[in-house]
Formats: sequence, structure tokens, C-alpha cells
Amino acid sequence: MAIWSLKGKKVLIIDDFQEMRVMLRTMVEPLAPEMIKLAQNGEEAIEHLESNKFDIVLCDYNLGKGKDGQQVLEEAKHRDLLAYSAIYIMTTAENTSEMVMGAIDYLPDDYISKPFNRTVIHARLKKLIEKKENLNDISLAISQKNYKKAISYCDKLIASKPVNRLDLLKTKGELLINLGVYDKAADMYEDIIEERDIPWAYMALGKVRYLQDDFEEALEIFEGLIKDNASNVAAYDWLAKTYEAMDDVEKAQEMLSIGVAKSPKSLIRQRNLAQVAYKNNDLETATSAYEHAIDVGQHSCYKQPDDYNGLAKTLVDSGNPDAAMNVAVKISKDFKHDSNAEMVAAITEGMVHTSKGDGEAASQRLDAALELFNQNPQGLSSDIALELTDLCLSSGKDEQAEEITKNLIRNNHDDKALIERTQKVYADAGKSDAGSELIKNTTSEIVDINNKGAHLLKEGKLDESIELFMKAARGMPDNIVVNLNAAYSLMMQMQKTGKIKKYSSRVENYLERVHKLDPTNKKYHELMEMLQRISIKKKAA
Amino acid sequence: MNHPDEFDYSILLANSIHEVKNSLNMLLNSVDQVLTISDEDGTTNNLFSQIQYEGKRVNDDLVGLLAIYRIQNEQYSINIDDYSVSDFLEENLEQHDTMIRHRKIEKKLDCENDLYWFFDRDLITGVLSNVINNLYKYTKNKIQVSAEKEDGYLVMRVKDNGPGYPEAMLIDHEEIDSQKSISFQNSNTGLGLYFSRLVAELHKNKGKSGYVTTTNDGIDGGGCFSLYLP
Repeated sequence: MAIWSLKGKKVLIIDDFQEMRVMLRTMVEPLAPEMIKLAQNGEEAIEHLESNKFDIVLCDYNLGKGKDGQQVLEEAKHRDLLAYSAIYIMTTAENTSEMVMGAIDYLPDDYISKPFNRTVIHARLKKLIEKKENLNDISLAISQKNYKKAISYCDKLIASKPVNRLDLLKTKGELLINLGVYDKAADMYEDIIEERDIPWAYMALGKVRYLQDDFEEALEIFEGLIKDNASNVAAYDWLAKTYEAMDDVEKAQEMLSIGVAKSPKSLIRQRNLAQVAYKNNDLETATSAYEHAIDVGQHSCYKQPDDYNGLAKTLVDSGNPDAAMNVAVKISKDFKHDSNAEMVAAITEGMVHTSKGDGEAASQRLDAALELFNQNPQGLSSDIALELTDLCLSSGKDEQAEEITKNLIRNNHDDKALIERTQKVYADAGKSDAGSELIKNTTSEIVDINNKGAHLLKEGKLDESIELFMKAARGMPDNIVVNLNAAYSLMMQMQKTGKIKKYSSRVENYLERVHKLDPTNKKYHELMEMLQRISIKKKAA
Repeated sequence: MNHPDEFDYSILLANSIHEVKNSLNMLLNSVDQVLTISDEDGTTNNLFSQIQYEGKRVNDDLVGLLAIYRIQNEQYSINIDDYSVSDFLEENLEQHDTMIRHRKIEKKLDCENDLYWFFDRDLITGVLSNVINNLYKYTKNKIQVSAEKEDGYLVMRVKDNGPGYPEAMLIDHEEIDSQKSISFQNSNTGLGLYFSRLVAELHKNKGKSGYVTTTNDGIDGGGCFSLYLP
């Protein structure tokens, strides 16, 4: 018999059929894990994942009502409920093709098709655990966002020409892309493709070409993938993205429509289609896609009140304000205890009232929204912030509009497209000059702070520069440059004094914000490395 | 926000199959457990192994039908990755273990340990399962599964020592262009072979496509099913 076991490991089994759960438990029990928990639906599964760090999750894809297996996986990853070393296996009575098509961000470690017996599940678990252990150093480095180190571990393993060489190359490529080293990534993918036509290598190469702004080449690659496999939905997603970057919004919509028809179950795909269709003024498609997004997203962690707002706006534009109001009212029902959603609800209702010419009701909802905004000015997405600005301007609340705009620009002073849109909102309200003035002043305020801080750094006045940037980062937590500068000035200080725990956790905080806002930011990785070196220095001392 | 007017046949089909397969899964596993308890004269076990055999066939046919439907409607996204061929074949044989043991069939697996190849695991599992299920009917007492590289293809072979394929079921690679028609009407092997060929053709690399041959050079002139994957 096998000598290995699941000793000390925690196992979670998720299946909507009771018999199936029990059967899986009897299959796993002989391997003597420390704990086996059973869940009958996605909600129960999330509760278990919140209270225990599981090592192995066996989850059925189809869980009846509520979240499906993919949504459980997405939420677990999104909320960091799983350890980097955890194994997530999707069990399924269906074919896995549909699941792969529906998944955009995260894939499970393995799929097992039902029916399967004890021997098969044992063999798969054993192999997956070995595989994870083999990649342990790499996964750990990735979980610490130390991509350079992860790459060096990849290289070390690749050099020994292992059987999982392609897996390692795949991971290495993703790391290179994350670091923004596109040339190297592209070379690597081209080498792989020369050996063999591997769809994922083409896919990744297409992404790199897109990131390098080589849109023509990217189109050619994605189209080639579709020629070989007309159901490659991810290729349609990327075609849409590429066309949008080329300002061909009509083509982008066409691609997304095909993708949605082939795999309608993805919230993000439906949302993208809705937004693109709205841009194209195709209100019918936008309405339907927003409705689907809300519908399929009901149990998803990616669900957002902004989709309801988008649907309401589309319905208002289609001359259907009553339906729009129904959607607006639904926000508070579908997002309980969420002050940001409440604000979006108030803004949406205000917008619908305005369209109906009901000034009094509109201003009442607008006041409610503004009160919430003053309590938490950082919660709004750019789209909704612009809408709120628009509402304020059209009801004479210019001062409030100014506050919102300042906040928006402070957090996004180098986002040209957003600044253009802000300008347009002011222009549409007949206040073009006031808008330009405001944007100019706010932008130069930030540029001044950055210059002043940089000057202080140069003069060696570290304390002053730290104070300046930290204050700025408090006021504009979503401003990439300010966060980078705050992190940098703190690290300059630590280079003198050695590592200070309070400082380094702040630096991590600032850098984490940058990473969230812009996952491929090059400066981020440079500063992460700088932080790493400071830690090492202290160890050596 | 439901759309009862938008009737999606593939969703209905998939959901129904999901239900049926879950039941089958339970059934097959229960039978598996019963079969580990040996009865005195073996009559009960014979009956249960017959149930298991039929259950597996129903399962494989359902999988095949749904896959064919999806492929024809461009709703099947082939998911090709590289796998250890010996692990894969071992796992496939394992799924048939109860039947093979019960029928006292001698099995042999012939594959290098470090052989890795590219294919859609689900689809090829479906193909092999179909072939092996059919083979029970014909083999005397032997089954041999093998895999090796040949001229840029991976060839998976399933051989038995039965009477071999009837003339109408033989497919030669050279004849593929002439599309020897496989009849569904009078043989349920037809569905299996049709599915196999469809799946093989979905596997492509550097301008080459996969294909299937059926010959009678198995063990002692028995059937030999070969799946070529580029």
C-alpha cells in the first residue's frame, strides 16, 4: 500500500449532493488527514474557508443555487482565504471545457471528472502534492511578490530539464510579464512556439504584443487562435481589448458579443460587453448585457453597484426612467450594509429623478449622496465620481462638484483619459473654463508636492520629505506617484538607520496600493527589491 | 431578470446530463463497493458487474453525445495541455479495474515513464473509455494498452485477443480521405468511432491533425484501435 498520507492536512469537501459528500469523505479518510469538513453550498464553503486555512479543497463545480465552484475559488483567492500552498481541485460531472471558458482570472490546480474511484483520487492528490512541493520555493516567492527571486528559482529548476519544464516556462513567462520585461517574455514564448503549436504560448505572446502596444501583431495572434479553435473565448476577450485600445469600439463589441454567446456565465465578460455597447450607443445590447451581468454576478465577489448604475443610465437613455428607478432601488436590496453601494444608489436615484424632471426628489437624493461622500470620499469609482460631479454641476452645487473633482484628480493626476472626461463633464455643464482652471490647479498642486519632496530628498532633509509625502499619501491614497515617493523616502531613511519595523510595514502598505492600482508598474518592482535589500542588510548586521 | 423566452438547448442538455451523471456516479461507486465483497457462487457479482458495465456505457455515451453536440455548435473549447502519458493511461485503466479483474482479463500497460504529450484529457478519456468498454464484448481474456512516439505523433493503442473488427468497421489511415462512412443505425460502435475521429481531428499541431485507425493486428489477430495525436 502507499506509504504517503495526508497527515496534518486539512481537507474541505464541497458538493451539493449529500451522498457525494459522504462518499468523498470515505475516499479521503484512509489518508488520515487532520481535519475533513463538508459544505453543501458555496456560502457554507466560504464560511469554512474563513475559519480554517485548508490545504486541500475538493469542490464540485455545479453547486445548485448560489455560488458555483468557480465563484467559490474566485472569492477564496480574491479574499486571500487560501494559503499559497493550498490545492484546489474542481470535481465535475460535466466536461471541463465549459468551466475553463467561464473562468477568467483563476483556474483550479486540477479538474477531476466524475465518476472517479478511490484509487484515482488518491493518485491525483499524491501527484498534486508532489508538484506543489516541487514548486514550493517559487510559490512562496510569488506570494511575497518577490518575482525576481521566483524567476531565479524557475531558472534553477528549468536548468535540470525536468518533465514539467513547460509548466515552469509558463510560470516564468507570467512573472516576466508582471515585471514588465516584455522583450524577454516574447522571446521565450517564440522559442516555445517554434518547438510546438501550444495554444497557451500563443495566447501569452498575444498579450505581450498587446502590452507592447503592438496591436496589429496581437490581433494576428488572437485571430490565429480562433481559426484553430472557434470556441477560444479568452482569445475573443483579448481581441476586444485590443480593438478597444485601437479605438475601434464597434469591433470590440462584435468580439465580446461572440464571446458572450459562447460562454455567457462570466460577470466580467458581460460587464465589458455592456460598457462597450453603451459607448457605441447600442442601448439594447447594453441593457441586455448589464442585466446578464447583474444576474450571473448575484453570488460573485466581483459584483458591483456600478453595474446597476450602468443599467439605470442605459434605461434612462432608452427613455425608460421607470425601469431605471426599479434598478436603482434594487441596489440597496442587493448590497446590504455597504455604504459605498448606498452612495451609488443615492446617485443613481438622483440621476433618474433628474431625467424625469423631478428636481426636488433629485436634490434630496443628491444631498444624501453628498453626505455619504463627505464621510468617505475615497470609496467611489471614477465613473460614479464623474456622475456625481455632473449632478452637482447641473443643480448648482458647484462647490461640492469642485471637492469631488479635486479628490478625483488628486488620485489620478496622470490619467489623461480621465482628465479629458472630467473636462467634458464641465464643458457639458457650460462651465468649461472653471473646469480647466480646477484641473490645472489641482494637477500642479501635486506636481509641486512631488518636486518639493524630491528637492528635500536631494538636500538630505529626509525627515521633512517623509513628512510631506506621508501627508500627501494620506490625502490621495490612490495616487501612484505620491505613494511611490512616500515609500522611497522612508526607505532612504532606513538605508541610513537600518530596518525599522514601523517604517517597513508602511512602505509595504504604500507599495501594495501601487500594485493594486497598476499591477505592471515598473517602479513598484524596483522599490520592492530595494525593500528586500534593506531587510537583508539588517540580517547581515 | 430571467429570460424564459431564450431557450438554450445546450444548457438544458448539460443540466440534464449533470443530473444523470451524478446518479450514475453514485450507482457506479456503490456497485464498486458491492463487488469488493465476494459472494459464494459468484452469481450476484456477475449480475453487479453487468450493471456496472452498462452503467459505464451509458455514462460514456452521454459524455460523447454532449461533447459532439458542443463541438458541432462551436461551444467546446478544446483544452490542450501536456500530461504524463503513463500516468494518464494508468488512471484510465484504473477506472476499468473492477471490470477487468472481474472478467479475469489479463491487462498490460506499455509506456515509457518519461513520455509527456499534448492532448485534451477529457476528450481522450472519453475515447479510451468507449474503446475499452466495447472491447469487453469481444476480447477472449487479454487487453493491452500502449503508447509511444512515432513520426511526430503520439500513438495510443488498445489491443485485444478477440475475433477482431468486422470488415465494415476497419479504418485505414490512407482511406480516411474517402471517408468510409460509419453507420449509426446498426451498431453502437458507430457512435464511439465517430466520436473518436472527431476528437482526433481536433488535435492539431504544425499543420498536422490527429486520426484514428482500426486494424486487426492486435493480440493473436484481435482488434487494434490506434489513436494518432500530433
